[in-house]
Amino acid sequence: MSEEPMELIEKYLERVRIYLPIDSEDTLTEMRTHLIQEAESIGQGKITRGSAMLAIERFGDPKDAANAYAGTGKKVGPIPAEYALPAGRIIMVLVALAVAFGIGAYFVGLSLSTWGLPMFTNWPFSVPLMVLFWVGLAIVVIGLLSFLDRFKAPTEKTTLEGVLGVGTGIFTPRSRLDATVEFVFGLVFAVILLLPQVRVCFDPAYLPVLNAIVILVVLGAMKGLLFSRFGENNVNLLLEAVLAAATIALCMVLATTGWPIVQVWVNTDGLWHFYYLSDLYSEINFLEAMFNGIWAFIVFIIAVTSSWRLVISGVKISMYMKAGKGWWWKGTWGSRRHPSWSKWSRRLSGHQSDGSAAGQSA
Amino acid sequence: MKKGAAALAILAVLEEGPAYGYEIVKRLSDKVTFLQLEQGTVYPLLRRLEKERKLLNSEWDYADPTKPKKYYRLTSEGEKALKMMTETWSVLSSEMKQILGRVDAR
Repeated sequence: MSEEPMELIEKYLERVRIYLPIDSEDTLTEMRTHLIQEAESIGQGKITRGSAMLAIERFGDPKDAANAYAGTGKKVGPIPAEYALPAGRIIMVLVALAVAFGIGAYFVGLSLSTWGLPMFTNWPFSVPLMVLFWVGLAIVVIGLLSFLDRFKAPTEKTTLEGVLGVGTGIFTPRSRLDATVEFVFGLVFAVILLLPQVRVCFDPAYLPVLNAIVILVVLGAMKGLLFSRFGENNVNLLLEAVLAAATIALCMVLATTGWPIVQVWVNTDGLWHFYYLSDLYSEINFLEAMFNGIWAFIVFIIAVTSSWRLVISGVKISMYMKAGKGWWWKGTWGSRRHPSWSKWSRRLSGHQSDGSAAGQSA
Repeated sequence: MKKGAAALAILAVLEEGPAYGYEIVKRLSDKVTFLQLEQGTVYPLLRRLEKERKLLNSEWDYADPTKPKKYYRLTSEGEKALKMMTETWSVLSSEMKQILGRVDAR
C-alpha cells in the first residue's frame, strides 16, 4: 500500500468514471481539481497520502459522487440511473461474448449436446439460448461479487467494477502514440502475412480468408494513421465501426475453419524444411483438438473486442453528432494510459509523492 | 426550499465575481453553515443552473494545467433571477421574522 497521493485520486476518479455518462471528461477534470485542492488544503499546502485519502472520503462512495455530479437521481427503467450505463455495457459485452461463443462453439463442433442437452444443438436456436445462459450466469456472479466487495475502500476498485468497467479506457480518445503503433504494427503484420514463406504454412483452402485478413489489417493500419494524423473525429470513428463489423463477420468465417496452419518451418542441421502438423497429430492425439480450442479462443476474443469497438464507435458518433460536430474536424488525442509505466517513469525521474500533484495530474 | 436557498446562495456568491467550483464550495461552506453546502450539493446545482436554467455560463482556465479551473459567472438571466429571488427572500424573511417574533415574545 505505498501508493502516491495522485495515484489514489486517479484510482478514485477511475471508479467514478464507470458510473458517469461517456462525455464526462469535464466533470472528471473539475472533480480532480477539487480533490487536489482539498487535499492540499488538508495537508496545509502539501498533498500527502493521508490528505488525499481524507479529500476522497469527503467525496464519498464513487457511485454516489457520480450520481450527484450527473445530477440525475433518476431511474432508467427499473434500475437507478447510475447503474444504467455499466449495466448496459455489461449486457452488451455479455451478449457479444455469448454470440461469439455460440458461433464459435457451433462451428468447431462443441455444443450444448456435449452437456447432455441434445435438443439445443439446432442452429441458430443455440445462440439465443447461450445468450440467456451467460446473462443468467453473469447475474449470479455479479450478485456474489457485490456481496464480497462491500467493505472495500473508496479508492479500491471493486471486482464488480473491474467487470462493469470493461474497456472504460476506450471511452477516451486514443493517444497519438497508440495510433502510430497501430499503423506501424498493422503494416508489418500485413507484410508478414503476404510473405510466400509464411503463406505456404497455411492450408491452401484458407488462402482467400488470409487475403481478407490482410485487407482488414491494412485498413486497420490506415485507420491508425488517420487517428494519428487527425485525432478522433466521426469519419475515423465510422471507419473503426465498419472495420469492427467486418472483423466480426470475418470471425464467423474464421470460426468455421479451425486451426489453419498445416505445416511449420523447422531447422535441422542448418537446413530449413517443413514439418507437417498432421504427423504431430498422429503422435499426440489431443493436439489437434487443443489447437482448434486455441483457435476458437482467439476468434472469440477478436469477436468480443470488435463488438465492443463497434458499440463504442456508434455511441461516440451519435454523441459527437448531438454536440453538432458534424463528420470531420481535427480531433484530439488522449494520453497513454498505462498506470504501471507512468508509475515507473515517475520513479525513474525521481518524482516523488509529496507535493507532486502538479506534475502528475496533467 | 432548501434547494432554492442553496441556488440563491450560489448566485449571490457569483454576483461578487466569477469563481470556480472549489472556491464556491469553500466560500459557501464558510458562510452558510445551516445549509451544509458541500461539494455533493454545490456541483450538481452549478450544473443545473448552467445547463438547464441558463443562469450561469462557464469557461475553463488552464493557466495551471495541472489544476484546470472551470469559472462560473452570472448570465444576464442569472442577474435577473438573483434580483427576483432576493426580493422574494426578503419578503419571506421579514414575514418569518414577524411570525417567529411572536413565538419568541411568549
